[in-house]
Amino acid sequence: MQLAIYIVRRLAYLVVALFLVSLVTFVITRVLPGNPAYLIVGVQADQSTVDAVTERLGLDDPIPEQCARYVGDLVGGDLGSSWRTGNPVTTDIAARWPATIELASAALILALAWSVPLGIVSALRRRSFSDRLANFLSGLGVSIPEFWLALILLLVFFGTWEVAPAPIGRTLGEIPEHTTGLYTIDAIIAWDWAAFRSAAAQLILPATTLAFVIGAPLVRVTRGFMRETMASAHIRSARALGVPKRSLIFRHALPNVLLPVSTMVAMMYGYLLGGTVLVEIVFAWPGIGKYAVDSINASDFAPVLAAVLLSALTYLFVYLVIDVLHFVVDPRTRT
Amino acid sequence: MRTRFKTRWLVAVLAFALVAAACGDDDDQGSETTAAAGTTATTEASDTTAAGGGTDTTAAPDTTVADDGEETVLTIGVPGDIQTLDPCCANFIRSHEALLMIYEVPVIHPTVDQNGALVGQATDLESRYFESWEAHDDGLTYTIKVREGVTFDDGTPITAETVRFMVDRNLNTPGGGAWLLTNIASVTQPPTVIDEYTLELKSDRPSPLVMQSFYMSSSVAIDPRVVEEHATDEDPWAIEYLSRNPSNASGPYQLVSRVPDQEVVFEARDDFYLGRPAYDKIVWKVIPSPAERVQLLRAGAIDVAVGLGTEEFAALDGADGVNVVRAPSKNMAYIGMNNSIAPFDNVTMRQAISYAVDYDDILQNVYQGDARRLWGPLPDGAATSLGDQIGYTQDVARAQELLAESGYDGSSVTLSIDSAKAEHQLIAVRVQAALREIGVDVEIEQLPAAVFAERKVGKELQMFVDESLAWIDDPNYSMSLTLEGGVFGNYADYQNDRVDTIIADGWLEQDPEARRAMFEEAQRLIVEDAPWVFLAQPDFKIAMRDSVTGFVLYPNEIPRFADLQPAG
Repeated sequence: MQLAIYIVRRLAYLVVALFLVSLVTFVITRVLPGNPAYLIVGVQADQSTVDAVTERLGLDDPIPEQCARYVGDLVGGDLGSSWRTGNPVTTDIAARWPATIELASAALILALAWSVPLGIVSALRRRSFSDRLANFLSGLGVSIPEFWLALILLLVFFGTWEVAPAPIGRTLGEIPEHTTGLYTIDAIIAWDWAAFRSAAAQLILPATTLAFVIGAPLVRVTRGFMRETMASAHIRSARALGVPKRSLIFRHALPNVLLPVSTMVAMMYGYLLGGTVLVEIVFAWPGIGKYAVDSINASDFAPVLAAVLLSALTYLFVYLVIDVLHFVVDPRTRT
Repeated sequence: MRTRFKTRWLVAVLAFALVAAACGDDDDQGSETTAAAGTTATTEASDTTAAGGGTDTTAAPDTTVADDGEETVLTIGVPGDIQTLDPCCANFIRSHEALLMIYEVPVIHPTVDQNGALVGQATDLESRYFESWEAHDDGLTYTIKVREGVTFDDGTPITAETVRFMVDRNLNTPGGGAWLLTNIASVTQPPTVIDEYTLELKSDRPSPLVMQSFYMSSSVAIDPRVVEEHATDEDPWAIEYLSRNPSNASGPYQLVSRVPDQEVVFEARDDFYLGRPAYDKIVWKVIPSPAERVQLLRAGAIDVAVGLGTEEFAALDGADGVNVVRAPSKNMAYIGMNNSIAPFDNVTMRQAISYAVDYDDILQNVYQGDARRLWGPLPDGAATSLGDQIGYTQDVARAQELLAESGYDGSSVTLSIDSAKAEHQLIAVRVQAALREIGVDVEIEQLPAAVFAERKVGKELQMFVDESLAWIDDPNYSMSLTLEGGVFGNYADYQNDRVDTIIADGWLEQDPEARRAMFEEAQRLIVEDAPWVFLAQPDFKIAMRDSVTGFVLYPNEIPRFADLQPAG
């Protein structure tokens, strides 16, 4: 019961937050100069064509009126249309978000695979080789710009060694039959091994790039919390009582560490799901980040608003899930 | 002690790896290109090779020359996706390129060899789905014969009614099609159908450009039935539907699949009346980064890279297996000086600026020598152009003299550029440096594309870098587009009554010699008035594998990929 009330309250916050985000983004996009009608009509036009296009886009109405119409449509589930693609924004996003989800999820799995174990090991063995390696890699990870790393990986693995496939989108083979929109998963469902290999091969370099960059802070956080926990009173007592080391680490210390680390992981995932523009551009990955940036450059307002809303929604939702988990796992949050 | 040793070892290995990675590019260019050398444009097999995963040499497809029965595929790296597929309202290059593959044009400029480059002869027209046309003596009426036997993909023939419908639709939709018909061809009524394959078209005033205006993508043949089936009360011409659905192709290819922001696949049509095109399949891959397109082209993963800039072409210099097709262009790069905003409302000031700019510096350092000087409002090589008989060269002393004469108050001027155009930034900094020499302080303002376009059309920019390419090679056409008083595209807000009179009379003048004399006068007047700094005519360039041939540069410089064919 307590949990239900908590969730309902959090959902209400979520709606309010989304409303405010949409309002702020709307005002920002509209007060910035730049009428897309001039881009749409090009040079072979006259002022009456510009006016007709402006009117069709609804940009000639006063801003409060445009805003009211936008919010009204939003409540009805209509995010508007993109003049650049000619599609309703929901269609465009449905076509692109799976690309982002697939990349973000692969990157997160890879990041977890290297960063959390390394963080734990390095915390347990101070000044060891693994500790220094963790220090070095996490230092590198937080300081290397992701687009640069992406280009270097391409130069080495595609350009020089020729072991990676050409960075042209999500697959070089046949696109597997659409089920989830995630090519690797769809290929597994369709039991299409060739399609899976092609999709996975395309995924490796961009996912590695992101995994390295987001893994770096995770190493630091994991190591920090692990050290803190290992030095805490309850672990010292357990050790004094003769609890074996394995059990000390996995049963007593790790659960305490995973709680704060999972919060961090959730934040990272939220960030990745909002689109990773630079990596998407380098790898010609048709995701949401690239869509948003192309739209900004073209003053295509509806997709920009939708992308910001989606990003906000993802963040808020991920936080909600994490908070609910904490609520369940950690009794201290219930007070 | 042992740990320290390990650390040192690790650092050494990593350092070595970094150095190896950094040097790798040059060392391995040879192997990269060797690997790619066996590539032909038949890259379908390469795609499946690539699908083989991360262990194969997927960069360089190991296909051989197309055997009979093997599918030939041309892979083109494009910077972005198609915007609209409706011929009436296309205004972005990817749309035009796609439309010209999917739908058939009525007329085309015949291909001629110009110093090794294939170009569409601007002064001539060849028939496509218009079989013939005949101008009547009144100068207003044309009888057009439609070619029999040209069909849409479902077998429906293209007839006089198809053409009538196309003109009617263009006249009633807001786009380039309407603009061309009304402003250039002076056609405001759809043609009359005489019989199944004959029409009569009437223009309101004599125009030398009636037939020429039909070579654009807005005049392609679309199926009236498709439009009628998808028309709604709000959208009677089915713009919404056609902009997304390329239904019932009439051109050499049909669009068979499209994954947004990722790829577009076109397949050759068997029943195309001119015969099946050379490539069985043309695949566009969306690759936003130009540097990436260069790398992929070098590696042979794509066969054609479009939308490259000077820097990327420099990177392709001497690359094995890559051919950069060049052709002299009529595209004009200029700096507009707003004639109604001080200090450029003063002709002496504008002339001073025109003498101050270091043109050679721009030709060499912005365009790496792949450009010619632009001397006046009509590009060199264009009809009636005076070429280098007119124009300004750098003369700093003369510039300073004129500047002093102009009464310039020393206030700084703002030079605006579209931030998406890298070359315009390079031009801007060079102009800034040159004008500092004569004591004019320039501030460079970078604007996002939409803002630049809006303020440019609003004639609010004091000084700006821009380019202009007349899609039809005719002095009337190009001057009425950019330099006639008060027109939409006259971004410098230039006004000279005599020039306006020449443009107005030029439409009616039928005698070529008299017309030439009129436009020579106009060119001299415009150069004297110096509304623009006439900078350069950068060459047209497109990069492709040497296994691809047949590229033709048409006056509007929109690539027609259906022309391409495997070499040899």
